[in-house]
Amino acid sequence: MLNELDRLTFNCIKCGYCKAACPVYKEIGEEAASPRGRVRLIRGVYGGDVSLSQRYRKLIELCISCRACTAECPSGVSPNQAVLNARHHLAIECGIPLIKRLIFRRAMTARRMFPASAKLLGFLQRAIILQSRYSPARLILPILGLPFDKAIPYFQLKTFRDRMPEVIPTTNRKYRVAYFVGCGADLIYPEIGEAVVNLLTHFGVEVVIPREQMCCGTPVFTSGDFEGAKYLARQNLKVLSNLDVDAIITACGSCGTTIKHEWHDLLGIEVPSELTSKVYDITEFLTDCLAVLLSAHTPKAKTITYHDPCHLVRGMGVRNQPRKLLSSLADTRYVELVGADTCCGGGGAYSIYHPDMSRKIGERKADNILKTEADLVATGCPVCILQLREMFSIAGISRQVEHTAVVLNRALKEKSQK
Amino acid sequence: MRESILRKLQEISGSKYVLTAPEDLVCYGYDAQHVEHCPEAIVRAGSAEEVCAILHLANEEGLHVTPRGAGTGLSGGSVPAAGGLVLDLGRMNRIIEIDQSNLLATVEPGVITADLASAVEAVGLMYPPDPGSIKVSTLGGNVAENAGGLRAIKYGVTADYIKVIEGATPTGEFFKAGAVTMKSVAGYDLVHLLCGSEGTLAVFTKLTFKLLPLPKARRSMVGLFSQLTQAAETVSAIISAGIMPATLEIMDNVTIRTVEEFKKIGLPIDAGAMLLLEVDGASAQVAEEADKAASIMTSHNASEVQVASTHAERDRVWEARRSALAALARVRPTAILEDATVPRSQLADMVSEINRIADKYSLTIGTFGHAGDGNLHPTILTDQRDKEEMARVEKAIEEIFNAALQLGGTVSGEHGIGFAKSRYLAREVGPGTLGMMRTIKSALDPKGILNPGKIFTDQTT
Repeated sequence: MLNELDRLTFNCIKCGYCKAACPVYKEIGEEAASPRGRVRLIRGVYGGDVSLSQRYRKLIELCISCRACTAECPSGVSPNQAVLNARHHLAIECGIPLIKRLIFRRAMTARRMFPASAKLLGFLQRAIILQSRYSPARLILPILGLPFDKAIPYFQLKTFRDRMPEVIPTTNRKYRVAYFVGCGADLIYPEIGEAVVNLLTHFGVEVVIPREQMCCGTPVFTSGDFEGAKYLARQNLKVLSNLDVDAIITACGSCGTTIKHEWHDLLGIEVPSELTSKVYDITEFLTDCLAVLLSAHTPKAKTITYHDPCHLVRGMGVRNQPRKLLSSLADTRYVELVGADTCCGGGGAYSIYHPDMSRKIGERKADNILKTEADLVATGCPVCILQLREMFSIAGISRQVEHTAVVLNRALKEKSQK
Repeated sequence: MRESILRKLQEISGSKYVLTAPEDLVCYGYDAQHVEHCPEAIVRAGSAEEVCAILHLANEEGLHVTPRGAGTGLSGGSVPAAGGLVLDLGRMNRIIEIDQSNLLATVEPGVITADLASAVEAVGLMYPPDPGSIKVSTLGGNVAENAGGLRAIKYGVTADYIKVIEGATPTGEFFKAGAVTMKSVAGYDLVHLLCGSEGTLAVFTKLTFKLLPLPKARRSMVGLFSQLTQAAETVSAIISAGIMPATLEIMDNVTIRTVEEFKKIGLPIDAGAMLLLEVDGASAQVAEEADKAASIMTSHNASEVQVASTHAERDRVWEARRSALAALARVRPTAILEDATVPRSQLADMVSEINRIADKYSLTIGTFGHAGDGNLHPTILTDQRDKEEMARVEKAIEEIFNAALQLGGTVSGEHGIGFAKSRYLAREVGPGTLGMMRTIKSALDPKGILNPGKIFTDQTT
């Protein structure tokens, strides 16, 4: 374990280029909160001049895993991966907090219990009327360490996968693909799942939604629980390996990156390259495999911009495809967002553990989006959608934030109705 | 550090901005040079008043103070060599004014260089100094180290643009040196004494820089050579022909290969060396100079000359050069970047010397740098855990500096002396000059509290 930390950080020459890219450092300005600082701390744990103190843990946890530092590092160091390994090391040496352990090891690993608990949560949310920004029920949030006006995503009473058959056929079948739904689309934003399925079937793709799929493991391993994540990865791998499909489609950059890279690179699981090469983001598959260009009209938006989810752009390397698709919409002007690929501050569960930091980073992003004067911002990750919607809601500004697939699907529907 | 001193620091800057946790101390013990020394505390000052008060306190208590910007220096200038206090100026990061009628910009020292460059570019102006670390380094640090960069051949270095410095003396007195006028001979030229003083004579709190109009046109090109010395000779030929490029850089084969491996931008990994050139100015002049430079490269054995025709191609050329140092660091765990600089006419000889020294000590040295101004960065790729190899590295560095001095050069073109090169300084400047420098230092900083251990060898504590 320590050897691994050393290997990951030894080539750092402390040039500091990573600092310019780090959204967390930008807000705090302290060296120890920069990627270079974190790398030094991790090296210090290896070298023995840094202990696994509370301050160390806090600094390591403060990283939002946006990977901008890794993309920037010319020396080939991955401060991002070093941090994940450091979290794993902390989990081994100091344990995982009880609440996380319960969620990761009990709820998420039990195939039926996770959706069931989400549904229960959804029921409770409706029962105690949490949706109003001024509901007294929100007094519970400060007790949990969250801001009073924190947006709480609505968990579905019926998950997306509950609503869908396992196989959705198409006419003129060109491909058969598996759709790895991911927790965001399954439990919170089913419209993403519906859009993905509609788009695919429309263009002659048969969609299989494997029943037994589970969480990809991103929230689990980013918290340092590699063992829990490995369990999930192996279960998913079993499900995905036994399918006779041409591609595995994701509509969440984190799910895609995790299947494509992290199961192997971070968790050390043998993943056949035939499988990883089949993983496509929905926009990537539409563009690269189906050569789709929608000259369709999109309702409700005159100007569109696009925000790159960190794991989609830097994890999966999907940058041009969503832009190409969005630019192809008729009667809609596409404008590029300044700093489109900088983190929005969502970061999975980051906004729950670091609400202030998450909000500061998010506000910068929201400002940049407002400058484009676009009335719709598309993106490719449920957490980014949640975060951006919250930023606009706090600021009292009305801006549509949608998944790229949802925008495209709406345009398609409009077209076929005409 | 004594509790009473910490309390006073907290009173000055607020307890939020005084850091003493061991995790913070190790993170303020380094810059981009490889030797570390931990401070005992860090204070992140927010104003000129705070800086004066901190230095005042330091004098009373005999506390060592090392000022720090982004910590990207390459000579250990911001490393607290004698412990004590690190004075972080990163919070003071406002661009105060861009004065378009007088072509001036006034900033706080913690402003990132690239942020100023793009802010003035947005109004059609240019801040010419262009250090390799432009995206991260701060202007305060640039002035303290008199940072050079890629455009030095035509536009000069930081010292050529700094007009006014406000700050605190080592004893905590506020001062304002220089004038915003084009001309000024009112007393000693303190601005140019302080610029490049490596944080040993003052701490800056406000800086005013001269700006230039943004050139109308630019053109970049790359020339490929089979031999490094051929490329070096071509540099002299271009300058002798009356062309003054904005940038003229060189990269050897080791550097080309490593950058390509990192950036995958289609660099020719078989080439012995590359010259990267940019001309700027009025459109007609740029076209003429670019054509002329290209034909000189061809007549000096360039196997190929590629002229960038789009913005993207131009960016790619410079991206390649900017990544050189850190990309080299991929090859081996420790990269030691040197800063040997010779008169331009001696460039080819210096390049041959570096090659000879690399062979003699069986070391991998990647050489790149600002060929146009004779400033080379031979970068030794090694592993500091290997004692035997490090001994050879030390000898090689010694010989590189001796070679530079013999060719009429200097031991530092742009990174400063810091603690990394203090023992070579006397060899270059001689006892009389060194004595003068020491007198200035002790007159301004009688207790020797500001950035001790830098520039002079015998002042490590």
